[in-house]
Amino acid sequence: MIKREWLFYLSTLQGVGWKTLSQLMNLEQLDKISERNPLELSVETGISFSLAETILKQISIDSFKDAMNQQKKWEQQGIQLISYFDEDYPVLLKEINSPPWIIYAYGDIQLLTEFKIAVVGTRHPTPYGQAVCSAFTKDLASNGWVIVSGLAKGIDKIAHEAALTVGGKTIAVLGNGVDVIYPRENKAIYQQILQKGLLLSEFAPGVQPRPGFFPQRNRIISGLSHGTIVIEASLKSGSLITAKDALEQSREVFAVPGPITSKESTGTNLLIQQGAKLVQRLEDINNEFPYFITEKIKINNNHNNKSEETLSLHYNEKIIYNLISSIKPIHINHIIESVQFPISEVYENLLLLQIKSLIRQMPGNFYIRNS
Amino acid sequence: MYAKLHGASITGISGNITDIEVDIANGLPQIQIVGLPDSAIREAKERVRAAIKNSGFPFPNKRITINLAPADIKKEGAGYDLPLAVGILLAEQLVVPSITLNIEKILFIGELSLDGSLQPIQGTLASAIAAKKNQFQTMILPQQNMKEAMLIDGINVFGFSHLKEIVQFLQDGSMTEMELSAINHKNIREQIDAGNIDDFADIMGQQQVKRAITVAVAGMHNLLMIGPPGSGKSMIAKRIPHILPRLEWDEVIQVANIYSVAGYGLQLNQLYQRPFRQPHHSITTTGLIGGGASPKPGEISLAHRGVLFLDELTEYPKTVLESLRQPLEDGKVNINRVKTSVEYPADFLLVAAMNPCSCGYYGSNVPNHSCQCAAWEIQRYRSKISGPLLDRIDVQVEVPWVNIETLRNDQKSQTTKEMEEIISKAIQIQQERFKEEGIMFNSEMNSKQVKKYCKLDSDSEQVLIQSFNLLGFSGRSLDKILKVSRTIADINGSDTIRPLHIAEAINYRAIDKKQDIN
Repeated sequence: MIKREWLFYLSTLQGVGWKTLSQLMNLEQLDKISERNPLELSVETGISFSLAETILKQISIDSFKDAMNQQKKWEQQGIQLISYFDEDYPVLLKEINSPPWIIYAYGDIQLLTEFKIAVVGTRHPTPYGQAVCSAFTKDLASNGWVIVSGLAKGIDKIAHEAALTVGGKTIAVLGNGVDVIYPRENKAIYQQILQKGLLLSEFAPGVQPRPGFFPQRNRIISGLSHGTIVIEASLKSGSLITAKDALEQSREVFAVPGPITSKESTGTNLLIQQGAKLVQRLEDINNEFPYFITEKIKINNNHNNKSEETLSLHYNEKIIYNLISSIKPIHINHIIESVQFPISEVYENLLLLQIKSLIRQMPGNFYIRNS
Repeated sequence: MYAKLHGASITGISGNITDIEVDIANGLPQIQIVGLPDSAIREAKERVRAAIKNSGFPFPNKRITINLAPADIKKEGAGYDLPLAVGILLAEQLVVPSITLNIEKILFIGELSLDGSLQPIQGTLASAIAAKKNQFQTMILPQQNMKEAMLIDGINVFGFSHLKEIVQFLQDGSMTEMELSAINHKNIREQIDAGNIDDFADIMGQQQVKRAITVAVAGMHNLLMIGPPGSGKSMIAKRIPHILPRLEWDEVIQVANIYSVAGYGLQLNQLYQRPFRQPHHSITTTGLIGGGASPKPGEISLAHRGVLFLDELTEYPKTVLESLRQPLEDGKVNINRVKTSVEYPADFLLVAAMNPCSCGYYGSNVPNHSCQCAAWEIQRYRSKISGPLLDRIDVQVEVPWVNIETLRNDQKSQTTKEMEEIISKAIQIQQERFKEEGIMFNSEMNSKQVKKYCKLDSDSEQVLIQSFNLLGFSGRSLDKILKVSRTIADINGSDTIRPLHIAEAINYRAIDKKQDIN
């Protein structure tokens, strides 16, 4: 217990990051740290002399108390602190090369004990990637998998949303404090995850995002999960870092193939070349985890049976609905050219189909089926 | 020795008749002009002196006093040269007018050269309108300004190129040769021809954009086109003036008058055409709205009764765009200066174009160009157009990029004539409806009139409510959608607003719609 408190206290000090913290962990008696002089500390732990000086200078009873109070405040707010030494600390995460010493959890921490799978990909998905991500995630989530992703825009956001729409569970691992909403446009989904899922971060609450933080949090995304699915990624994508982390942590890596002409699939296709498992359907993933007893919760499985026979569409609606694919968006000009009735009626039917949430409009007057 | 005659000056876009009194008395030779003349008029005495001398008359070496009345209105411009010169000649009795002429009923305007020849002036039409209002029978002016003045019925216009000819005319009381060649204003109207116009048939594909434009023009709804570079927004905009109904004769006069005052002269073959103004985005507020030390009409007034096209709307300085708000509402603009306050008409159709984002390709299907903008960049780009300004733009339409196959293949494309027919029918319906409301178009309805004329049946009500929830419109979109639905119903010849009209109107709120920006 003392060790946990000291761990947290030291992590709040200036100049202490993951690496310094691991070096300080080597000390015999952590709580006696202030009795050492900088030279001793530097020799015993291997940190530089100047750093040892800075750390020792900051240590005082007052600042210790402040840190404890701060922690209490966070806990009142609902943000829990889980240290490496706690029982709640996810087992899988402990196995990785550089486990975070402290994670902050905001939301339902029960999710940490369940079977988790990471869904990652580009911030600029194509409609194909959007459709595939949504479909895969819904299948996985309704099968009992907890979906882990990074709350970035693009694939991450779609994955979280898809998991929540079928009533599944999802964990978002952030590159900033758990109480910081980034990017701003994900505010709505952030709040949903807070209510129904879990937000996780190794950065203290209030910490603003920095470019360097995101690759760092990727190791947690893959580390938490039994496997990682890459939906779409270009060659420079951060998702490839997550995939590499997953391999180093000896976790499964799955990749969704894409057209070789699509820039956003070059990364995933490369992963497949290098031996990642190509996935086409849910079973491809489940087969890799024989020990994962598919709980078959089937929480909310009515999302997939929207065959048009059951939809009772008007004749004209049906014509237009059949023109619209679920993968490649169609422009309104093409719809107008393909049907025989006046433009106003095309608009009417498109709106009615939208109201029935069978299709949605995309920027630039394109239409696509809701998957 | 005293003479009295009339000239005119321009304030804003209207002419003011000025009484000019000339008195010549013995004394030290000098010319004194009183009655708030500006510097151009004060300089006139030098031009007048030289012009009289070079026309072969002796200039009186006496004390000349000239009074411009009413004395409290500031008089501007070089148009007083001619009446001053004629006044001096009359007062000195170097010219004795024929008894058939009533000098009091003649309006003189024109600028003089030192050699006595006449130079054209700006704002002739405004003077002619004022002349008619004040029951003048005759105008004497530079020959180049003659056609302009002839647009006004009931005034005999005589154009001359030299002061000597005017003296001759005043003495004879008639124009023997020139009378024959003088063009009657009826002939002028016949000379006016539409000429070559750009046709909408040149625009391939883009059916839904043409439809949106038909709707916008039929109800005089301001229009915003959003599309990637090269999608044809400017090409489309240039064709819009020709689908507007032809100008009525009094509108022709209004428009020609503004151009005359602004110094653009008169182009007869374009008289009936709606103005099309396309100011560059480096324009200043004064350039757009009008003004200056001696106020001149701005681009919005030059676009009066026509189209003001603002290409690359987001590139205009914010203050310039915001200055459009009041004229868009009132159809006119007031310019206030310390000594003057002028009003310029500015009743125009605003057509604007912009890209969907700063790189230009957001949501477009242009091959090899995918949008790289972050969500916040798109938001920031769009927020350059303020909410209140967007409020005044009823129809927002996305213009897609058209591929080469469509450009080459599309054989049948809607022509300007076809669109014009649809529009004129819809306008007739509106004029019938608004006979007693004092407005002409659906876009001018206030919220009370919207309630009265945009009634929905229960089906339409249902569609409206559902789509508001679905698409996340703001409340301010409601009236716009209803007004545009009314126009669409008029185009389709329907008395009631039906769900399909609502659906189409909703589609013309491209920027308001809640769309996920990924």
